Amino acid sequence: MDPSLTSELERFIFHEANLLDDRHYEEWLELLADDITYWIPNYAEDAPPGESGVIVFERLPALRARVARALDRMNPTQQPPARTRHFSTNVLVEPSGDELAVVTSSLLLYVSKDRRLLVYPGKCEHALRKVEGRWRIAAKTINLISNAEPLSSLPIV
Amino acid sequence: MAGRSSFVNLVQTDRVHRRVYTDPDVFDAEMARIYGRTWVFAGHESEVPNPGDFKTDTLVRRPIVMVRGSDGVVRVLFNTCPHRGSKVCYEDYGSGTRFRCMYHGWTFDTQGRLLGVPLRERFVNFDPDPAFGLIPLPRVESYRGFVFVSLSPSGIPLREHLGRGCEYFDDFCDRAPDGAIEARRPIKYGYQGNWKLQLENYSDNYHPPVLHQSALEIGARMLKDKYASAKFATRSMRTGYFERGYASGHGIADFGTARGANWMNSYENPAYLAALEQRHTPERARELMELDLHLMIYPNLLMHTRTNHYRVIKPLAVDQTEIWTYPATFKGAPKDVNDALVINTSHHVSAMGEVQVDDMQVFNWVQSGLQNEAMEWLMFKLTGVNQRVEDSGEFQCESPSEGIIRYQYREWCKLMGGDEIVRLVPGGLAAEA
Repeated sequence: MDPSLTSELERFIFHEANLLDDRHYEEWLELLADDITYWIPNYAEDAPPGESGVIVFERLPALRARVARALDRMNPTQQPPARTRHFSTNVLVEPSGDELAVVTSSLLLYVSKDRRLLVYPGKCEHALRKVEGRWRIAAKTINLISNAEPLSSLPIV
Repeated sequence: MAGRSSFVNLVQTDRVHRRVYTDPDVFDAEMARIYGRTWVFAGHESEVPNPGDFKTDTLVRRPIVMVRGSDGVVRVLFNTCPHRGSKVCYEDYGSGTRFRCMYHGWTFDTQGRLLGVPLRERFVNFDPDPAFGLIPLPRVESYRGFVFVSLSPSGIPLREHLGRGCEYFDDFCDRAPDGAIEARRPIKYGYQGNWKLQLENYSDNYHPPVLHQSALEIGARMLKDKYASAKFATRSMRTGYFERGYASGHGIADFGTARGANWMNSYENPAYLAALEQRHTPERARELMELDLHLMIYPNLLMHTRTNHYRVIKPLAVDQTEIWTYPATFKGAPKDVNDALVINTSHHVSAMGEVQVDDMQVFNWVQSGLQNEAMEWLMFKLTGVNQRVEDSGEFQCESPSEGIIRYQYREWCKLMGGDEIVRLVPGGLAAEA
């Protein structure tokens, strides 16, 4: 495998994480492919959305609205916003031709909100596609290990 | 620990004392006198569709298991081995022909009866009757598949407890073309506040235009297809809205019709309507499809037709609560309708949902705000248009009010105060005016 591709896509994952943690949500939207599926299953790993419910299962228009809510000072959950840090490790790249790749990684998401520090470990899978020479996220799936447990309000993961 | 009368003194005609939300002694008494006495929702029969299917849960910290026996009967048993006290069933959901305690290997059949005891011949003075095994809850009754339990061996039957609420269970289930809902896996949420905050919030249609303003405005602007004409503020005031408080503390807010306000609604589907029309008149079929209700069954069940789910309130401590939301799919409806219903329910209530996150945030703020002793009393004075108390003792009004919350506290006083007469006036302020 081309080590430079692994390194490039790893940097892409880290860059995305930084945009989310720094609340640069509008820039984050620019990383998304027009047909993106953003999915955090409920209850079990990869549990079918229509069967087991979801934490979230959205496409681009709903994600744009999500970003608008996250940036809206009238939103009660943003008083103040949670502070977050994504730790992405165990990154593995599976290329498929020159323009497609699946990147899996382990995630440790720390969320500080309402005087509590919460941690959400999980497994991430990014399906990336090259669009006009730049990598875009065509699908992002996050399997939180605590997805069958009661959760507190989560920011964009 | 405070005495009985001091608990009911925490509630007055139009206000409730902050200690009701903050005092661990009040919480312990509630768990004993409310959750330990009245009917409490435990699960839906569709969660255990086949003989041998089980689900485990807790009833205020007590582990229980709901199991469909080999005889087809759904039972609710304490999930505790009668030998040395370990749980005997460990998964959330599962299926099998027996339960086996992993501590010493005692086994029980799907009706809870003792099957086998290793080294049984060496147990002294041990000659259990044939029913010996996992202990059943004192009372278990169901209505339209909704299974309720009571830790008290005596009391009124479930049907009497639900009262006119049964009509709405019927509506809720009749919306399924085959006349039965099927519960899916729960979506769970926790908050740092008292359990009654969710119960009261659900019966309060005064807050949505304010608390959910951001979500609703952005939804209406950016997700028009989904939010349609969701104008909560005006919708609640529209002709056809009414709310009612029932005996036993239950309440209903009926928004009239979801037509033109099908916020997150997935039912405008011709195949679904056609399936309903096979069982009902066209008028009734449309009415069922457009039903827009909040039904609150005291003390722990909330039923919601707009995204079609029910929520179970699980008190953990005076300032800690979990809400488990079960999407309620329609037996006999097209798959795409049910899939959309499950996903819309998720986006309504999940930890990354659009609406319920606002409520959870405010519950945390209320719990924090009530630490101020200076703010002794929380009021519930909001009175609805055309409010009246019917001969049956039920109240009804035609605009959002805090009347259902007053009814919750009638029941609270009744259960917390033992046989004392409840002084709370139905509908609120009339007697003092």
